[in-house]
Amino acid sequence: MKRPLFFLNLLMMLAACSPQVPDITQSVENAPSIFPDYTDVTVPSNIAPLNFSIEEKGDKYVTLLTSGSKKVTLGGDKVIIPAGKWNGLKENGPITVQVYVRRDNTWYGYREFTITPSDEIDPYISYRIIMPSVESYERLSINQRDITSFKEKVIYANQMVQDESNGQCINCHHYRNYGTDNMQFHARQYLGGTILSIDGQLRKVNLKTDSTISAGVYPAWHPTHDYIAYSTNKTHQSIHSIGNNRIEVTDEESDLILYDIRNNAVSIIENDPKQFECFPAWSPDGHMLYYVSAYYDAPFDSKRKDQVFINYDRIRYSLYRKQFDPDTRTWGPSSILYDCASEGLSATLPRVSPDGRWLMFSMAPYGVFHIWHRESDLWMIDLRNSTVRSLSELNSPEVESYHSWSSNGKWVIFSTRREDGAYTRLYIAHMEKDGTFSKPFALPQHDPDFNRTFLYSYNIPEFMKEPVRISPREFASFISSTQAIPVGYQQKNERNYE
Amino acid sequence: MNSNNGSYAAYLKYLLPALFWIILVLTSRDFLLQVEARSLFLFDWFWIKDFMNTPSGILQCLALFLTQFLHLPWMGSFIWVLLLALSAFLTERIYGISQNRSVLAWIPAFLLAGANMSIGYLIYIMNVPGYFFSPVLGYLFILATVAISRRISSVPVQIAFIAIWGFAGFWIAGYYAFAAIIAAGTDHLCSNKRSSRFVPLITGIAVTVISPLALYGLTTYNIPQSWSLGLPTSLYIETHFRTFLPVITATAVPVILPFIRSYVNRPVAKPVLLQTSVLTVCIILLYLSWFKDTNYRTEISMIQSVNEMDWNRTAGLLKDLNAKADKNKDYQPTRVMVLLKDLALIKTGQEGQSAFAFDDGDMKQKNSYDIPMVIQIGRILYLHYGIPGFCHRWCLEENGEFGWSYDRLKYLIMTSISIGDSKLTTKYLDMMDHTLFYRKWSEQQRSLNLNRELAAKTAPYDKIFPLVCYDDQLMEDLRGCEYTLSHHFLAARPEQATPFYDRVALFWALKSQDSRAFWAKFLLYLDSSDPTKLDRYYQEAAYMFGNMEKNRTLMALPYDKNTKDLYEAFSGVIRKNEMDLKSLKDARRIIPSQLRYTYYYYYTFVRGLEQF
Repeated sequence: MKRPLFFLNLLMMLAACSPQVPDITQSVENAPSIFPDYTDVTVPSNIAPLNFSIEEKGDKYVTLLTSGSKKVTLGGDKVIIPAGKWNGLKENGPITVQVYVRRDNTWYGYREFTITPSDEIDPYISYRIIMPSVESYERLSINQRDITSFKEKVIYANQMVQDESNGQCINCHHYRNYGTDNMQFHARQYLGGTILSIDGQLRKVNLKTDSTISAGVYPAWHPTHDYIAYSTNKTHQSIHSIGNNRIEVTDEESDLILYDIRNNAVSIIENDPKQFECFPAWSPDGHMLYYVSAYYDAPFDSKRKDQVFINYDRIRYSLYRKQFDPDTRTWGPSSILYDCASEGLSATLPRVSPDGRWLMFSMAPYGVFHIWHRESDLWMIDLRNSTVRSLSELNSPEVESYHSWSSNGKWVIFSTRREDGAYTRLYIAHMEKDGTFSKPFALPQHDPDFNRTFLYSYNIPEFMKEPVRISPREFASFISSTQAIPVGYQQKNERNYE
Repeated sequence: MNSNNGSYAAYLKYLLPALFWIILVLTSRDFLLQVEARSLFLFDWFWIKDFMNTPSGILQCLALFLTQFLHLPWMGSFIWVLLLALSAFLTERIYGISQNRSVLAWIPAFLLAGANMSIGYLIYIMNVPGYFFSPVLGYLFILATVAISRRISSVPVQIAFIAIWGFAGFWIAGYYAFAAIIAAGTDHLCSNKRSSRFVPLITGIAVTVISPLALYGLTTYNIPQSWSLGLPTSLYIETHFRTFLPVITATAVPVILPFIRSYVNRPVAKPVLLQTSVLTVCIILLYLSWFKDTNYRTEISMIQSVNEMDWNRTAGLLKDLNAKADKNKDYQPTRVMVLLKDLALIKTGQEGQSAFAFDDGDMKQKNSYDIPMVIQIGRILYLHYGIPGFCHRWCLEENGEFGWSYDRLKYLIMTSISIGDSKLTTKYLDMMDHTLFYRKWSEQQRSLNLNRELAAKTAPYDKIFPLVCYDDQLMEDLRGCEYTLSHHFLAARPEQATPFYDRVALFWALKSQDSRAFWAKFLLYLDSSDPTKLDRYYQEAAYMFGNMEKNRTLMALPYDKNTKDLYEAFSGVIRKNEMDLKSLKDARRIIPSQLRYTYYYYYTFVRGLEQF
């Protein structure tokens, strides 16, 4: 007889502890200030809970989330939404969120805001975690995150093979068509090489040949055939003495090559000595290669690097494209798509939407490495009519740089330093039917203050339909035990096909 | 006899640590403060959680927590000495070391103390957070493991304990967990006569081998590193043995002690002699291992006084050293000392009057490895000479290599304020608010971040902002920070140059020993500062270059009589000893001291110094 009473008491106590929506004594016209800013955003229907901190001053907080008949009430200034309740809310359509704050014994009810679930998003993303420094890479890792939850795993970390005397840099993870059986990243310096997974089989290659200026750098895996386009770069980093743009990454030379996976050989795509060609990106059908290129005419002598340093803010990249027949590996001529250099602007990182209609890129007053340019914004071209616009709905006064389309073309994820100007964070936005974007929102983290305290930057966010299945240990063991295979050199096939 | 022995041991127990603590506080204040400055503990869950994600991270985190108390050197060192004393006390208790041999229990504590005090120049490149406290904490972890293991009588439970402790302990304390389970194994082996007595030790060894391999998938460390995680390491792998050896030796003591328990428990015929002998050897070894190099200690003190913005003390330290070293004709300061002295004189406006009144030189630091000057003092020089972009860069680079520190966080804040990056300053200030001892400083900086006009009138910005008066430019510092600074100030004058900038540029022109650079910067200085009287070394340089160029107009300027007299005297000595004056060493021997601190001497003999 005593036991049921005990449980009843316990239940009543728990009920008394759960937050109650207060009677509003004063309403506030504005939505509450919250971090990250999730007010009135459109989110994927399969995204992890959008936990947030309430930034309004108060001594007590209650948050009411309502979706149809479902209601969830949470207390505290950190709103951590249980996954089950979040999923239940999302199923019912738009979620209205009302925040109540008690200050000086008065409850204030802030204007409701809405979180609208929409199309699904690829469940995984991967990125590199790096300190925003120039040379130091003591801890680098390429991680994958299940964005339907908060689970994050390392794909590969440089500490797994390097030691104090033999440092290793890792970069440029990339996937073919959002799948992970075909993927690549570069390991530089110690035990270096380009690490490829080809249908799940690992291969380590040295893409540098006598006929190319470097090993492959920025990759673009062909969507239908076994090719990867790369830029080859002779790159330098230098420091701004007092400017807000702290670091400058400049190319002394830059070309494009094509790696033929089956024949393990590279061929030149573009190597005009007066052009810095960079950042290749395929159209979804694989018949067009987009890239950026800057005109730079200077002798190839010992002063070339210094000259680049002097002229760094006059080197501007425009958007180009080049036809390609993947069956015969034959290139057509290059043509300029958008001559932004003539407008005093510089484009980089072209990425074509999966439906082939839109080309998003980042734009700044000069240069090619826009993550270090605070003026950098996202822009987009409608490839049907070549209209160009700055994506003001996504941009901020700080950097917007690397961006990727989801496989269904409904979402973009992009890197931005909008929160503090120095540490790169990931934001996601929904593309509407008219080519505009909804308000971007920060990649959800379990603790909403995570972005404020995490002292690493997120680099190269890429969507994936599935997780990488090769374990970090397999990668490390392969990298440690395998010599990079040299690649052969092929002649470039060219013709004019109009 | 016994009671005498007992009181001797008891006397030691209290006197020894107390004496060591007093010596430490009296002689090593700046060193202790620099150890603290190169660490960071934040009262922030994310910060702590990051440590928990890596093997030995919890030990490092706890060590960092304790390191912060070195901010008050007497308190931090008291905690450290107390832990050392505790380690000795527990060693004695756990292993039942008889009172008349109790000094043996102090051997690990001496080794651990020696490990820290011998660190020397490695202080700049240690890359394991909390290295100052983690060895003694690790040692206590070993003793605790042995004590717990002793309470387990059942062999299967003992095996289970060692296995579980090995895996869990690896995450908590890294290397020390392996030493702990092996010590527990040897302890069990030596205190039992059952046939199964070997099993816990074998289990311990097996777990030591297996656990890093088994947990490898959860970590991002490479396999060979796994067994040494938590041990103090530095940037250079060749220095690891030096830092490992005393710590490994100390942690080997609990492994070995069970084998010699019958010896350490046995009464001894002449206990006082034994205790005194062992103690004497330990004290001598500690003294010998203590890194006492004068230049090193002066560098540490100069860096600390710069951090305290005590510019007079910074230059004064070198002046005192010069006075002490006056009899040693081979003495030279290091470049670090010279550059910090120059900076201090510039900040106090004494460079024209005093810059060459010090011994100059490029003495190699007393270590077997080269530490780039930029790692030691790059952030200091770049910030205070008005190149905040480089200060920012090196703070981040070093954070990447060595972990975050109070010092670098402070410089990141000051550099962000100097650049005018309010948003980033706020982020770093928010971090600083999570510290124990820097909240007040953070509060002051926050007010300066919001009010640039106020900042411009407040130290250190009052003497930084006037140097940030040029257009942004792309730079590299591959040839070292001294070359970079010289190159920066000898370049064409910025349009917005302030009088202070011109003064600093003139100083670097003086240092360059280039008459054309001197005249160019000298005229700009006269134009912008319009001095009523020229400082001593500007007069000496102008008089000397005027003479060398046989420029009658320049020679006729109103120089002090002393300037002319010293020049004549110096020329006379040179003429007289021309054949013997081949090097700086010869000059120090031959040139009288009243002529040694002239620009003439600097120009003639202080040449071709190595930059680091």
